Amino acid sequence: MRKSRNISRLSLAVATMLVATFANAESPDNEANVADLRVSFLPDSTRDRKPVTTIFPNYPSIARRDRIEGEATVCFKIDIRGNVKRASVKSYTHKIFKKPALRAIRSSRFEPLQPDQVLGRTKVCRTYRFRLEPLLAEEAGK
Amino acid sequence: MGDPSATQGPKCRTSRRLAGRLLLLTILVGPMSAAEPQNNERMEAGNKVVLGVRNQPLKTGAELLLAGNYEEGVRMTHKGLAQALGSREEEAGLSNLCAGYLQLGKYDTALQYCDMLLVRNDKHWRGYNNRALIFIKTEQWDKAEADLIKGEEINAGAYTMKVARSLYMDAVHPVAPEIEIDDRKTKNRDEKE
Repeated sequence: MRKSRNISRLSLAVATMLVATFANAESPDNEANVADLRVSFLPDSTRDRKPVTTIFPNYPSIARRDRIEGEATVCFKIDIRGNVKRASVKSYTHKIFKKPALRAIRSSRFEPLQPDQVLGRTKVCRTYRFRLEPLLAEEAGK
Repeated sequence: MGDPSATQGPKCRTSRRLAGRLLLLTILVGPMSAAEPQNNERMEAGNKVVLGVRNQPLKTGAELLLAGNYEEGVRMTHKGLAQALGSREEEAGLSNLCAGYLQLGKYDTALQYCDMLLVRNDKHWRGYNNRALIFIKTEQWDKAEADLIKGEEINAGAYTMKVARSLYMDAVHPVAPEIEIDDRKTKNRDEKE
């Protein structure tokens, strides 16, 4: 029984590593934003747990409608298998960004712990910045 | 400036169409409620006591417009407007005709009814909202902006006003949503357990 559970855990970890590196968090109410969403990622090269699947949140449709920009910082722990645990919003500029940020980090995955690594006790943090970049006339006219 | 809608993907266009429909729904709900008094309300017309809906064609017209049957909705609203009693019903009828003709793409006619409405009542925010939409459709941005400002002064929190403002902003000042993920450590940012 325990053996089969370990095998399924291992296959889950492998499958997680094989998933595309970047993806958008699925959210039915924000589907319209996916098509024209621009994303960028500033990794921390010193961190020992490398991201495997990085999920970008969708831009909340109401925030886009009302032209609200801002950011949300989430802090979380990474377990042995690379899953995100105990995620919480540490700070935010507008509450509208809390849910998409949490949803995105909970769907993200990191590399499983290597045999020579020690599981860190501290929480790590990630900031999601939501911006609305003006389109130039040429871009808008394309 | 080029056509800003050209940059939007098919999903975005679909959402715009959806937004348009939602907008119309909300535009019509208010005026319709004006045409439909409370069930237990009693209205006296001469020596006859009438219970329930006073102007049935106006109500039916609004329902047809809400259902997307604009031709028939406009026809019934005209009928209701002809037998309207009081300024409230007249304003509801004019507002619905403006919205109906707007949906039919007859912007000149829609503008006439919106103008008539706003001459009667210059505090009718739905009138400003509808007229702003006509100006957005006909790309008269300055006039659209002026009407949006007037409408927002009267009812800034209205959902339809927000949607109309968003349509205007997307057309005049288009933006692209951008999300940046920052994993870099900042001083004292990473939390100790």
